[in-house]
Amino acid sequence: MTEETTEQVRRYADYVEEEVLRRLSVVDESEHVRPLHAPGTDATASKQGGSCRLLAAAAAALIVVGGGVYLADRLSRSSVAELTSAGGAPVSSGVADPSWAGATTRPPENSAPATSAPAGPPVSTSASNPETPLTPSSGVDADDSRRFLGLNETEAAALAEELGYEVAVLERDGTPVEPDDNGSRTRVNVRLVDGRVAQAFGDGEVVTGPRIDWRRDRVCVAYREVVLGPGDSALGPVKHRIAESGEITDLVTAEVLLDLEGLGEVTITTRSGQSVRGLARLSRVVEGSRDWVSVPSSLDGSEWFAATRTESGLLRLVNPTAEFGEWEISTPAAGEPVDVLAAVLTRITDPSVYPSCWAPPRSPSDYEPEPAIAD
Amino acid sequence: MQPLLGVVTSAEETSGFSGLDRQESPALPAEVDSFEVSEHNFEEFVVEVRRRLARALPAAIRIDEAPDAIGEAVAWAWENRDRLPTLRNPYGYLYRLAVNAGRDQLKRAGSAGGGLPAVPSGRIPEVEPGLVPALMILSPSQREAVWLVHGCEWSYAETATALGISESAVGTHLSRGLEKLRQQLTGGPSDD
Repeated sequence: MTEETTEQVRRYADYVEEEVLRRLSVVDESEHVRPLHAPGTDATASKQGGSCRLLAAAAAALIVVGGGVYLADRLSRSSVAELTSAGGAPVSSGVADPSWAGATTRPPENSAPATSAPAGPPVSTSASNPETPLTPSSGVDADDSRRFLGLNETEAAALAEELGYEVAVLERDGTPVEPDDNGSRTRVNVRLVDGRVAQAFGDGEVVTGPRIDWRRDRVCVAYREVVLGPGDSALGPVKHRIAESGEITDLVTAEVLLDLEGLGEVTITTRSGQSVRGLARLSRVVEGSRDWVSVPSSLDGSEWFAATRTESGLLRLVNPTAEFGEWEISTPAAGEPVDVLAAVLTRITDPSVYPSCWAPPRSPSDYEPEPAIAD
Repeated sequence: MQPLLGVVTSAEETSGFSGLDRQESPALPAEVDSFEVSEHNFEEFVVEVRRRLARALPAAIRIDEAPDAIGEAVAWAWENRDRLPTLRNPYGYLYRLAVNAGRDQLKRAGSAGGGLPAVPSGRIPEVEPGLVPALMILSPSQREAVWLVHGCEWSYAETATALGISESAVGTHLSRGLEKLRQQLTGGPSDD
């Protein structure tokens, strides 16, 4: 009987292992990154002239090591420094995994590189059901409404004045506010979090920017997923990532991802109207967790909403969680193309594998084992 | 299966995880395979870690949490890859990390601990339908001991490291767990 019992346990474990590996494979398909480097060559020598350095507190969800391993990972600052300082061969242009191609809209090979707004309307999904498409609708110009994101109330009012709108505050930190409906101009509805605009949209407009869901203090950020390859110009579907955060200082975070080789010049326009060449997509996984607190971005940069460009020419991306500090990514001189250092392209094929809400960032000490389990 | 590194030898006794808390890694015993984990062979290591943890974790955490928990363990392994060779049982250690991560996730989500997945009807005819409920009746330590030793064919030493207990305690949990399991499957009374 003992052997029979243990044999049943073993066979059942076979099944369980298969189940978990199947789920893992789904996750693997959803997260990719191109190599930061390949050993043995200089990282910048064979680039097209530009140079991007990654000075990151944390890095990618998946890092390719050893010549092509997709590894679910987050790297510490030292690890990133190690990888980037180690140098590497130029990363081949285009997607690393051919399977991505199916998720992109790729123009003919000889078509112009992507430098303008993507074809077709953006697609949004609801926060509560990321897979449920919402129908794009009209309202305040979406690009206009995005410009309000991150502004304080005074700044928002000034911008509204400039654009010919008026601001209607719908919520302050999750508390509904009765909007003043006396104005005669088109309203830009905003929801404020910590005094800043976390969401802005016109009447009837489907919000495609970041969303705040204050239920259970979750922050739900929608971003437009971009799957890029040489010449790609289409946006992927919008996905939602949900994170928890109690210390939202800004709705910007970043994973670093400069995915430009072969794509031509790509511009991201910051909230303040400054442009930074070369960034194609930014998103990140918070170090120490599986959270995605992602930055909307698009090929034309219209969704990049809160990056600031420093006097030294760095693009500063403020992390929403103070724990991980800031990111700084150097930008190339004007007119120079940018190296490809890495690219995280997310394509969730099975959202059910992700928890509905992901854990907040954790410190390394959280990973120390607990004391022995007492029976 | 040949572990890639940190083979637990008969000369060693697992001693918990104190090695990771030290600033300086403890010297490797001569018997320990000094396989170096680097960027170049990390893939191989990860493949093995994933396979092992995929099989082992569901006895301790919900199957839904397993992929993320494995990711956490792998991430830790990468960040601490220089220390991996100093671990006497890296798989056991990573198992522990993954379990903690998975349980942490459950706490944050406000969820209760999960259970082993039911077997779809007819999928494994040789497994009694009552096996999963019987496993879930075991205490957590008993279940993990039974699962790791018999389900995953881990050694007592590996299991001890994974559970953070002594090998003798593993034996105790195992024998009690198996006894209880037999009682459940045969419909007899449990003496535990």
